[in-house]
Amino acid sequence: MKAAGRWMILLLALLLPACQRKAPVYVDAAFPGALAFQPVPGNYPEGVKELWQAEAQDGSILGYCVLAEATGFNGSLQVVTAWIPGQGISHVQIIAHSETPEYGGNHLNSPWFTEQFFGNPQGQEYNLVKLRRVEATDVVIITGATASSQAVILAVNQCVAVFRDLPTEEDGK
Amino acid sequence: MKRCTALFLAILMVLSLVACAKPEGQEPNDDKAIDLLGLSAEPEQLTIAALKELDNCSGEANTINSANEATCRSYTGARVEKILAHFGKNLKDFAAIVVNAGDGYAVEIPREILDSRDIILAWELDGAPLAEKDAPLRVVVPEERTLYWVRNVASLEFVTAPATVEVREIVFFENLLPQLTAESYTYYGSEDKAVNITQLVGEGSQVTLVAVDGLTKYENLKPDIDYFIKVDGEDAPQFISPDIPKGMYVKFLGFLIDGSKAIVFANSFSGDKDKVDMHAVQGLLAPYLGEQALTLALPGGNLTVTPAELGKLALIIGDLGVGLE
Repeated sequence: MKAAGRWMILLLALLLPACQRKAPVYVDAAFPGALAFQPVPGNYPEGVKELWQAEAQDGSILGYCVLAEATGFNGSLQVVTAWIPGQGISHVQIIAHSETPEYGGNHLNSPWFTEQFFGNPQGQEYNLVKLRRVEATDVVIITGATASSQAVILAVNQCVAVFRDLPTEEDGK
Repeated sequence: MKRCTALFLAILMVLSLVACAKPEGQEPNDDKAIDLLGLSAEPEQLTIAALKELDNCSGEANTINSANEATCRSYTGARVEKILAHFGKNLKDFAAIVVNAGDGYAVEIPREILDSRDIILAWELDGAPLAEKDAPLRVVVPEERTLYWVRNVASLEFVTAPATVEVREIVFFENLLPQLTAESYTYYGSEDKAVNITQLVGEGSQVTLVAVDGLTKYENLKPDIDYFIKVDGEDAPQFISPDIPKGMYVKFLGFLIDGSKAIVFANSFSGDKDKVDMHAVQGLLAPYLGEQALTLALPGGNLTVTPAELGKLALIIGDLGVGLE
């Protein structure tokens, strides 16, 4: 009987962390080092679908992850953005879209495009530019895909608006 | 009283339903319209219903995929020449048709295809109305590559060729480059250099762009659009603009013609060597050359040659640009 109890405890110990990590795969991809994820409820702008908090083993907050939606050329696209307080955006991934492959669709997740969003700890809005970056918040379009690029920028800006309002340690919210 | 009100409402509902119903035989896309550009000063709009009045032809046509495999499709649609006749025009009036799709795709149907094929705007394929993503119209060009069978047609732009002017002057882009200001142009993440085309030709010019593989496009340079020649990186030299559909870019440019002047991209004819293959230059330029002598602007001064002599010239790309060997 005692042995059965020990097995139960072991099983629970194994299952509990797994239960805590019920976040979608895309949240996992945004914070691969996180032990647990918690959904953060709230009233967010229309395009923002979900907000998740990523936690380390000691319970400290690693960062946040937002799923937002915007309309591209062919329809809606879904963008996941991860945010590390004090550092800014650390991850941008387009997880669903229906853009034409040759017209932006093949390049939406190209690092040269998504990494333009990295950083920006103040959470400033990003601007679309067509030829080259001048400001840190400029995002150069994917060649030949202005509408798709604009949609990603819009979605990330919605995420940034959420990140800006997150509680910080300083303000003790 | 209540019965009267109910009767009145019922009649109102019936009348509303009748008013909302489509006329018999009308398809869901019939009230949609496409734009026709280049037929008059202002764009013309044509609804699918009006198009069906102009022509209604059916047939079978092969479409050829990139693996050269043919697929036979049956279609019902209207021939572009019938549309043009309605506007008092003829296919022979135009050098090309640019088809723009609703998803931003664009392709130019060149003169050679206009001369040899029917161009059909189909509202039915394989006996059924077009699927939503293909509607309201799909281009059918029998025996031609699928890239011309544009789905979800939004507009047709009828392109007029520049007035035929013989090329009388040849300048090499590489000789002009030191005087040009190149700016950074991000091309799929690569920081390439590009020259605004206004440094080469006048605003509003109508230019002929010819790639080394013979692909020819005509472009009316609109004053509110920035056009560039990308001078390095992938696909260079390339005619490009962030404000035109990707299908209208021209990569590996051989030359561009503005009036009687041809700007030749010597690097496109030199492979990995310094020598310019002038025989290839002459071959590609041949349709634009007449009987008259040509002037070549070279670093040491101008050189006058006959069109026949052009292909025999020995030119190299050196430190001073393109010059005599």
